[in-house]
Amino acid sequence: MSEEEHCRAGVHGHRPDISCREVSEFLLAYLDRELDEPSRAEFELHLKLCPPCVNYLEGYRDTIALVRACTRDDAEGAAAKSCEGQPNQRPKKAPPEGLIQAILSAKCRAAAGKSSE
Amino acid sequence: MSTEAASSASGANGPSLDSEEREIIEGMRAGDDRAFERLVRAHVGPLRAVALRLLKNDADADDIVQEAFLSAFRNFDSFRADSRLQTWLHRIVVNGALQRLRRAKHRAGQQGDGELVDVSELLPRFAANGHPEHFSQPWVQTIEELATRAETREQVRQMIDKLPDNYRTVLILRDIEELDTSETAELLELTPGTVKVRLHRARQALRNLLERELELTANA
Repeated sequence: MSEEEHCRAGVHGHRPDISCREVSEFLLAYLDRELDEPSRAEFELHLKLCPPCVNYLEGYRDTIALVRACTRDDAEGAAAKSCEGQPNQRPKKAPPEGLIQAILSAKCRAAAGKSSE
Repeated sequence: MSTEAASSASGANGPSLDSEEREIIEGMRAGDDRAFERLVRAHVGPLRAVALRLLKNDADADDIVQEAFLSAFRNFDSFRADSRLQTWLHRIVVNGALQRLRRAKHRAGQQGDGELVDVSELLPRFAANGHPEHFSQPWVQTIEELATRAETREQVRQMIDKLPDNYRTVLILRDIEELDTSETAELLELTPGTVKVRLHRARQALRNLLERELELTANA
């Protein structure tokens, strides 16, 4: 049985009270463990019968993991190293000393203003 | 304030402060300029990264970070020792960045960035009987393989930037900054339910974009 036939099949397919659409809609609640126990059981029964929904769920989880992996500071630090010499890449810069000095100067002005009040 | 006083101010249930953080807090309370500089140097990098993620612009990010440190200096009395400096500063920066985004959006009336995607077009589609129009395939590359490539990391960041602000900000706060739903709702002035709906749609849209642009399935 092909994946498509499996998903559409009446015998091996889903119970009528939960569809692929509902799996998609309640995915976040499922992952956040916010479904009540009967709903969770229905959800997991559907996953047992429906490889495409399992693929969708795994891709959804992987999306979250990939976003984290690609935006972590240490990943960006590594990226900066591997970007050297690649003009189309956005290298991660160390915080500019100019910004630090600007903050310190602004604070001195603020402190002076505070003390003259 | 003495070390003992700072420790006791953190309370029995407060975070255990490392010695550097404790010294910075004491110094800030004593008005020590060096403590402020240590505060800046210790936190400016991660805070600038947060501001840059939200604002997508170096100059705006620098502005917000500077304003945040000035606000921290002026209002250090309001710092509660039962939280971490990093958490406190992070919230100031996120608040400032979100306010700036709101003002910019208000001025522009709407986002004029033609590079943004239409989230509704990236959500999964279903037939009337609840079956999907497209059957999902497994991804053929692992997260580890993808995340080790600098080019892929850059593509992922660019795809996040293509989400409209109302979805992008929720995704950043929940999935990158790892705030919980209620904190995110409070910062964005939304209901928790709206945060959940937007987060789910943002992840679904991004999942679709990643799968398509990074050619993650065998049929791609």
